[in-house]
Amino acid sequence: MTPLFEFKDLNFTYPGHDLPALRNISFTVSEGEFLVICGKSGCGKSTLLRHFKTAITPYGSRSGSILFEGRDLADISVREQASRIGFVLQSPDNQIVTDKVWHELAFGMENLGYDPGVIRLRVAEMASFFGIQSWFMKNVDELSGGQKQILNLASVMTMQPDILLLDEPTSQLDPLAAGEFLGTLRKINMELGTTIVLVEHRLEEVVSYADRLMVMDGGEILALDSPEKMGSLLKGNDMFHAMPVPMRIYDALDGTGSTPVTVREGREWLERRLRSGGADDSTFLREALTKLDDAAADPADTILEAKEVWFKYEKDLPDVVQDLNFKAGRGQLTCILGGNGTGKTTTLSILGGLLRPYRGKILIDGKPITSYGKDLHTRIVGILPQNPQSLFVKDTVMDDLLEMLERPSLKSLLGRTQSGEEMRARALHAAELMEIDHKLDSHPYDLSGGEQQRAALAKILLLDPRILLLDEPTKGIDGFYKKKLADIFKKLTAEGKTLIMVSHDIEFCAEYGDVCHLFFNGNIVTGSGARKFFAGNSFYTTASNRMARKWMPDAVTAEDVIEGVRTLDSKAGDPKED
Amino acid sequence: MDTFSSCHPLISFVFYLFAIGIPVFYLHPVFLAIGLAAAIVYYVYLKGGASFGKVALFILPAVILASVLNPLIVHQGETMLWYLPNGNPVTLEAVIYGIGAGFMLASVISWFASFQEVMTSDKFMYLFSKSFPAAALLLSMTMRFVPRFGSQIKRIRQAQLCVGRDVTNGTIRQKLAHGMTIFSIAVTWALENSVETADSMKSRGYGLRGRTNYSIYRLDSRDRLILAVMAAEIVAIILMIRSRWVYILYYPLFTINALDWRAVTCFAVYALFCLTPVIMGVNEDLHWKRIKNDTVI
Repeated sequence: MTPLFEFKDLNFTYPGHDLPALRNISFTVSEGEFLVICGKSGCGKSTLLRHFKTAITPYGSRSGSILFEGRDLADISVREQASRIGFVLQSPDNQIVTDKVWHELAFGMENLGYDPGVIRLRVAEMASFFGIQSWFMKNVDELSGGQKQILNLASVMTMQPDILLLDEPTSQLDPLAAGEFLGTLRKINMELGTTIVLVEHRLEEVVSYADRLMVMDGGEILALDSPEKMGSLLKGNDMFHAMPVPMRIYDALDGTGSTPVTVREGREWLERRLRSGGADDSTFLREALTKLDDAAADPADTILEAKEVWFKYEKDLPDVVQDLNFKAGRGQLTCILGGNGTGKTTTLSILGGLLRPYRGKILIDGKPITSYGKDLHTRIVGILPQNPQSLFVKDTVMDDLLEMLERPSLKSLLGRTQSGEEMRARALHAAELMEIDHKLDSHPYDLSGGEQQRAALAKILLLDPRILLLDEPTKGIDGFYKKKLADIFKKLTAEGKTLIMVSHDIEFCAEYGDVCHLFFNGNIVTGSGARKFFAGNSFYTTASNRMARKWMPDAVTAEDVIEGVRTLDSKAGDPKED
Repeated sequence: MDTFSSCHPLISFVFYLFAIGIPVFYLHPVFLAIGLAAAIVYYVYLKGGASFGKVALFILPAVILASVLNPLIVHQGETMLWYLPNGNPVTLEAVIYGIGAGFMLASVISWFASFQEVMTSDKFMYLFSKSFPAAALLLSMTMRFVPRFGSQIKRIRQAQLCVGRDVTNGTIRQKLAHGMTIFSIAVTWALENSVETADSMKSRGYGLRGRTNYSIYRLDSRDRLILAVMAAEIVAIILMIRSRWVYILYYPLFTINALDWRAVTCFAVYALFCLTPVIMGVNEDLHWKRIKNDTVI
C-alpha cells in the first residue's frame, strides 16, 4: 500500500540564506497516523510542515520529491489540495477570515464551489461534532482564544480532509483550552480516522496520543519513532529535556523496559523501580504535609504590599478582585498561579498602578502607590504585558531601545540630557543582558516569540524599575527559551530586582519561583515557599510531584525525584533492576 | 428576537424600503402620522417604552428644526401670515410643509431605530452577496478587521502606559507624534498578520473558479406568504395614489383630498402594511398562549 505522504531526500534553502533550512528529509506518513514533530525554535519543523501543501510552501531552492498517494504533490490540483489537505496555523486570530462563526465554517466550501445544500449539511455536521451549536450565530470577536482555535479546526474539517497539518496550534492558549484542543484532535484521529501531523513544543500531553514522534535539529530528522523508543534514541541529546517528565526521570535513572510516557505509567514504573531497589514502606518519606511555609509568604523585607484591595470595572459589575492581601519580598521571584478569568491580569494591573482599587491600599516601600505620581512607571514599577509585541513601536530593535531613552521624563529624572553615545551604550548593555544583541537590526516583529519577550524586557529594564511585573512571560515559548528566561530572571533577582509574575505555567514556577501564590475567585487563597506550595497540592502541581508524591511528597521537580530515588537506593543497598 | 426579525432578510428589506419610502416621496400628513405611529409602536414592542426615550431625544429637535427653518427659508405659497424683518413673507403653506417635513424626519428616525435591531449586518450582507459576491466577502472581512484593529491600538496604548508613555502626556506636538507612532506600528501589525490570513485563505482554496455563496436564510412558505401580502398592499397603495384617491399639494395653495371612503381605504391599507411587524409579533404571542392553554400537562 502506498503511504499517504512520502518525502524523499528533501533539501530546502530560503532565498538569501547560506545554510539549508531542511536537509536530507526522507520519511513517510501512513494513513490514519498521529505524527508529532518537535524540536527547538528554528529547527525547521514549521518549514517542513509547510511543504505538505503547495499553496503555503515557502519560496526558495528545493531538491528531492514529495509524493501524495504516490503522485507528485506539485501535480495535484489546487482544488484537490485545498479540500484533502487541511492546515491550521498558530495564531487563533489571524486565520479567521470572516466576521461570523457560521460564515467562517462555510468559507472553504464556498471557495470550492459547493452547493448551498451540501454546505448546510456539512456545516451542521461539523458544528455538532465540535460542540459549536451554542455559539454558531456569534461574531468571531466574541469568542475566547480556545473557541477561535476550535473554529479554525472545524472550518478546515468541513472540507473533509484526509490529512490535517497543525503548526503549534496551542501555543497561544491557556493549559485548559490547549488540553481541550488536543483532546479534540485525538477525537478526530480516533473517530474519523483523519491523519494528523502536529508541530508542537508542549509535549507532556500530546506524546501519549502520538503514534510516532519526530525530533528535528538543524533542519535534519534526529529521531523518528514511537515515543516509547525515544529514550534510547535521544540519549545524551539536549532535546531530551523537552520530553515529558516521566520519560526524563526514566532516562536519568537508567530505566529498563518500555519508557513510561504518561504520569500513570511513570508512577507504575517508579513503584516497580523502588520496590526492586529494595525500598519498602518503612523507608518511604511518608511525612504528610500539614503546615505551609508561611514565612515565605510573609517576607521580612517587603517591597510591595496589597492591603485589603477591592476592585471592579464598573460600579454595577461584580468585583473582580476582592479582599486581596499580598506581600512580595525584595529580590525574590514571586509567582501568582491561577486559572483563566480569575482576575490575575487585573491584579497585576492594580499592583502596577494602571488600575485603581475602590477600597484598600497598595504600598511600595511602605508608601502608597499614588504618592509616586508620574515617576511610578520609570524606575519604580515596570510591567511586561502579556503580548510583548504591543510594546514595540519602531522598525528595528535598536531604535526601539533608544526610543525608551529619549523620553522626556527620563531626562528630568537623570537631571540632564544623555549624549547619543551614552544612550547607545546603555541600550547595547541591556540588549547584551537579555541576550538579543545579535538581533539589534531586525524588525521587532521578525523575532521569535522568546526573542520578542526578551527584547520587550530589555526595553523595560532601560527604565531601571525596582519591581518588574510580568504577565504570562512563558506563554508560547518553548522549553529552551524558558530555561534562558529563567537564567535572566535569576540574574535580575541577584541584582536586587523584585519580580512578580502571573502564570499558568506550573512547571516553570515550581522550578524557578521563590514564592508561589494561588489565585482563586478574586483573591489569593494561599501563598507559600514554592516547594511547600506544590508539595501540598494534589492537582495544581507538577507532573514530577504527581508521579512521585506517594513515596516522596516533597519532590517537585524531575531533579528532586531523581535525587530522591538515588537516596532511597543508597539507603536500601545496591539496586537490582526487575 | 421577535417574529418579524426571524423572517427572511428580503422581507425586512422590502418592508423598510416602502414603509420609509412612501411617506418620504409622498409627503401626505396622514401617511406621515400613520408611519410615525407604527414606527414608534413597533420600536416600543421590540425594546420597551424606556428605550424609546433616547429615540425621542432625536425626534423632537428634528420636528422643531424643520418646522421653524422651512418658513424662514422658503417663501412660496399664497397665504401670507406676516413679513420677516428682511422683508420676506412667511406663508401658511411653508409652515405646513415645514411641519410635514419635520414629521417625515421623525418617522424616518423612528423606523431606523428598529431597522438597526432587525437588519443586522449579516442580513444586509446576504442581500448584497447575491449580486456583489466579492464586495460582500470584502465587507465581511472588513467587519472582522475593524474591531480587531481598534483593540490592537488599545493594546498598544495600554502597553505604552505601562512604560509611562501615553497620548495624554506632554505637549500637543508630543501627543500627536506619539499618536502617529502608535498608529503606524498598528498598521505594521495589521500587515504582518494579514500574511497569515492570506495563507489561511489560500490554504482553504480561495481564488478557485466557481465560488458559491452560503447563507443561513431560507425563504420558507410563511415568508413567501408575507411577501405576497406585502407586495399586494404596496401595489394597491401605489395604484390608489396614481388614481388620485388621495392627493396633496403644498404650493402655491395647500390642497388635500377629502376624507371620503376612498381615502380611508388607502390609509387603512398603508396602516396595515406599516403594522405588519407588530401584527405578526402579537399574533405569535397569542398563538403561544393558546398552545400553552391547550397543553394540559
